[in-house]
Amino acid sequence: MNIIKKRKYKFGFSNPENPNAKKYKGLNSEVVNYISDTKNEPDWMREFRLNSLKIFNSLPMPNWGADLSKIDFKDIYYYIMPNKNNNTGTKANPATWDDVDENIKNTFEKLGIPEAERKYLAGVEAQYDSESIYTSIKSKWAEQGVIFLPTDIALKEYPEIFKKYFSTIIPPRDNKFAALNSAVWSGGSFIYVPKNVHVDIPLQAYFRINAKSMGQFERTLIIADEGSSVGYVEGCTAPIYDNYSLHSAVVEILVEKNARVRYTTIQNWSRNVYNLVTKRAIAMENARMEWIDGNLGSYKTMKYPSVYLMGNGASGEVLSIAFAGNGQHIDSGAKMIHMAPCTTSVITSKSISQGNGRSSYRGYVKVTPDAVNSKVNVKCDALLLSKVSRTDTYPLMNIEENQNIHVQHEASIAKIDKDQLLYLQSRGLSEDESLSLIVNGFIEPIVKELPLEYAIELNKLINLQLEGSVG
Amino acid sequence: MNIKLCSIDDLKKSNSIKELSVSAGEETLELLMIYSNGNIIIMENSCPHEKIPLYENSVIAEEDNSIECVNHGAKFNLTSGAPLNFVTNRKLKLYKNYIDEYGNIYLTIL
Repeated sequence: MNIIKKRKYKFGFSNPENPNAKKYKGLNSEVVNYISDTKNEPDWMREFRLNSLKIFNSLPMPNWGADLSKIDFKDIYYYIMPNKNNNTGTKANPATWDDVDENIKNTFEKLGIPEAERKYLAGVEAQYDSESIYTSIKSKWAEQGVIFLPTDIALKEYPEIFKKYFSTIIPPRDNKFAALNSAVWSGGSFIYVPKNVHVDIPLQAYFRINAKSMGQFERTLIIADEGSSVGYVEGCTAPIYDNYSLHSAVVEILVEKNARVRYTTIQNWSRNVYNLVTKRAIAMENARMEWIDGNLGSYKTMKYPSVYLMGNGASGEVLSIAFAGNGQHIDSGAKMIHMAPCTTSVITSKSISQGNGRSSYRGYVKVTPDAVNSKVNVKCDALLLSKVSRTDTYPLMNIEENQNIHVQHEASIAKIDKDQLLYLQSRGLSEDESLSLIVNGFIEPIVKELPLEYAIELNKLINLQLEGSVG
Repeated sequence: MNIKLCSIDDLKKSNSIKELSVSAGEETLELLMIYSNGNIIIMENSCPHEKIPLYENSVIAEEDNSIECVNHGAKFNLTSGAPLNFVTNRKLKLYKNYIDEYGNIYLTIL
């Protein structure tokens, strides 16, 4: 028998909504024009948005992956302004933490963001519903020319560099949800790291949905110039509502020659959020891109971080953890496209299914004829915690070149070993503690890659999910 | 070698875009010919990204002199064939052409 207690979700609180902020429900050109007007955008961005809306309307819903049939695009608010601060007026991006609206400030205090900024971050951004409400970067990095801004502000302050790269990595035609994001994007981070600058402690963004039936569509663009390096960490939470919310982000990253980027996600949306995200990085000559992707929350997730290895000697790595609890379907994986010689990719995926949760690994590796002497290593492991848990693996490899290509693929599926549980209990641990120990051992290769603070947080979240789950 | 294709008027009558299958020696070339910004442009009728035909699957933007494949959004410059975004790093193959005094378009193969 499976005993599943209702999971505690400690981030499920919410603030009162500002009724004036929810102006338009549903998606049409009026909403898109409203967003563009509100942000006072240049004409090219308005045209880009309207064109993306047409593309969104013309593309079919995906007929694979998670079941998205319950998404009602007419029942979603696509843009919500955060509450105004009575003291400071309508500053979209206040200069100091004190300028932030009291309710919003309390939310992020509860989530521990300002404390984390003080202790171990190079910079932090906080997004609340549609808008970024606070961004800061430590002066050490700003003085070296590092730009860390909300994407909307970067469009105005750095128009040339913005237009040069925006949407060149993920065009709106890439998929239906990339087109949706392109039409209604708001917030997200813009990062530019100049040549040979190493940001050796992470920048962090925290995305919070507060409003009911809300769509959050942040857009992140990271450019690591030649020889530079940067790490970026994002976290996400939302209140628990009966209505579904939609999170559909686009993340574009350009890793120039000899540069290195590590992008870490700890996704812990509440279980009423559809999380449909497109993330892609371009790695040029001898560049290295690393995605570390932890997916614990959400109702349905479809997310496949990818690396296009476009320069000689480029390398890409995806380390992914998916935890699908009762009622969840986490369809995640990775894409590696080898387009240049001597490129290397590693995908390591670990998934855990609990109760009737379903986790899927979906991977695509392509080695084009230009990618001679390339190496691919894919490893996906699944752990089932109950008799009704489900896991699926869809690895697709398209190898168009056969000149000295080394491709390796391993997959394993395991159930919780009752002997191991019994052994640990005989050493004085409770059943829950024994299960946690086994699960944490299973995901250890990925957790050890996280900064210590995030590794502890991830372990805590997993332990919280596992409480009372024995099967 | 010059291979006669059609006249400029014929091309304009077919919405300034034509797909062609041309025999050049032992090879058959699948081509797309367009009239854009006052120029005749002949290219391979296949997106370098996923080899999908560009005819009826592309958008030509005269304002930025580009062609965009509608399948995945790969975009190319119509003068150089260079990719304009990071969907692919391969160039679109363009062919030289020659127009005679009567307005006939010829494909030039070196």
